[in-house]
Amino acid sequence: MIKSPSGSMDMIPEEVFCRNTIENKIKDFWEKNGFVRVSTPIIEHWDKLQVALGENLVDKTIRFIDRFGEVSVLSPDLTVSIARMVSTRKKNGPFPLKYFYLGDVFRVTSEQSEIRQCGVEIIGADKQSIADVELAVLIFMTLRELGLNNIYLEIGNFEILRDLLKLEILDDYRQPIIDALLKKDWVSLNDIANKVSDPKISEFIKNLPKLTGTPEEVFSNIDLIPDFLIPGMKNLENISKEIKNAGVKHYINLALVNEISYYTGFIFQVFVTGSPRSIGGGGRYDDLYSLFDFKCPSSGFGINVDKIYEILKASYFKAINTDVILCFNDGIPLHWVWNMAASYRDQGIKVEIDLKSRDFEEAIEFSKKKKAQRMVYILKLESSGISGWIVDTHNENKERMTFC
Amino acid sequence: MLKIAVPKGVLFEPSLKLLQNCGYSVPSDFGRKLLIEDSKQELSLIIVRPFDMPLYVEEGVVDIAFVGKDVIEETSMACFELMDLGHGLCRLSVAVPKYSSYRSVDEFHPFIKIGSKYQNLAEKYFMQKGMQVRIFPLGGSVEISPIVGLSEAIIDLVSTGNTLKANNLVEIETILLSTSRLVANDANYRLKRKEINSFITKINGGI
Repeated sequence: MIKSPSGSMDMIPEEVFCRNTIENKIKDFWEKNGFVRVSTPIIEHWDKLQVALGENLVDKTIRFIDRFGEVSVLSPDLTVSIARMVSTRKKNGPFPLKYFYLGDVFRVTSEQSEIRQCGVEIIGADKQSIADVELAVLIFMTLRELGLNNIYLEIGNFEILRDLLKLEILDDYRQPIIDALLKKDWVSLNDIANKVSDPKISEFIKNLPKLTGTPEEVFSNIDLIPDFLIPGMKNLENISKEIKNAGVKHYINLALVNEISYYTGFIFQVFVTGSPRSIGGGGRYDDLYSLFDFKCPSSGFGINVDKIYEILKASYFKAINTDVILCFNDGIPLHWVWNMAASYRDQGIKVEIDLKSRDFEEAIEFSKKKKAQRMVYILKLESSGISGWIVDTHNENKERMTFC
Repeated sequence: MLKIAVPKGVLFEPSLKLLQNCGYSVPSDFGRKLLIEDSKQELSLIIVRPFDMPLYVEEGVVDIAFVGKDVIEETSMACFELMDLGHGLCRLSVAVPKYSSYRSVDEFHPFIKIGSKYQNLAEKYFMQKGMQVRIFPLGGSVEISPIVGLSEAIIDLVSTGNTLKANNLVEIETILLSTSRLVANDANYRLKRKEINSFITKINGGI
């Protein structure tokens, strides 16, 4: 027995059907929201991606030398590919572009290397903070549309941390603070904060993990925030109010960071019961497009379809079946078989032609195994056409048939 | 109900004692049971081997766990590291046989043989020093490896130093100080935030 390569998986028809059902629901819902689908290649240039992704993700990429001697990579992230595409082919808009994608990304992790991902992008909106609200509401509604329960949407503003880390007194602690936030290591964060000389800044860094919770809880603690970070906080509060007005329950997390380094402002993540890790998230990345010499604000999110599939597979699982199995005796001219199958298909009936020699009883057994509703057995060639039996596989009632 | 994992071994007793100090009515002795609920049914406790802890926490089978910093670092465990509980202080050290000529890591010859349960931390440590060594990953009884000639030095957890002494080994360098940490699963910390936060408040009061 040979398994699929490490980190990848095969899918049998029932599994593909189940995942397609989930994906189709997502596609339909996003199209209803005015997003259109784009597609990018699975290989990408390495040079731009390397800059955009950040150290943690760079280590997880699968790279190789292509036939031109350049470094290429199996796409670890579709947002950067879409940025490249838009900067090349849709520079003239019309903006904003509202795109969605559905494809595989490749990141080497302990769990899997090939990840099914879908997501949306809003590119070039003037009212970018409204785009941020739309995205946060959309990710929540998408998960609800799929029937997921207990959705925990968490929002933050990376601008606040970025402005904090610009402080000269944090020069020596910048990377350790980011590492502690990425690892969610509050013990180390506290140790670093103890070394910071300015008491207000030190206290704020210590309190970062506590600045998490409902909007009411966090925004009532505004006295913990240093003055120069208040504008970023106010931006977040405004977005939070709009998300609330849209009827979406959410939480605030000021310590929220992402291992992808292109985020510049608003940032969010979602969790649902049934998955031990986040199943999706996104935010704003206003500087990403300038990598491709195109200044354009943008934001988006991605959802891990494999994780959703894992949670929902039991409820979306359905046995694959066909309507009719068409069996025929040896010696029946093939064009009669094709014609008969075509006449069913013209009526919208799914027909599978059996390619194994079986007698009548064996053909009934085979049709039952295939969960077909009917079995048609072409028995012999008549002067005017063909004749045989139509069998209802549930009760085995049979009826004579002729076809000319 | 919160699901909590307590590690077997040295951190077992202090972890249970802490829970009791915080007002949870958990028995001190589980007997042979590996799963137990407190009498008020607020907590469900499971006993897990320390190096299995990352799996239980990362997969969300438990919400909260007590785990040594050494395990977190060795396995790059993905979780919230919420609190340093202070107990179970020990150190990850490099030790060599008493009769060995080495008295510092910098004297090590290239490709020196090291026995350790902490393969990743050992590799990282020597890489940062720019040294090439051979690391033999061992499951336990690491102290025997230099005695029988499998290795020339070991990297292992030391608390009192008695085991090293009994096996004629001496510590020459400390790599990491480790204490017990309170950790939480990434998603459960959010989805059960109220329960987990009130648990943390109680633990804070009990330290």
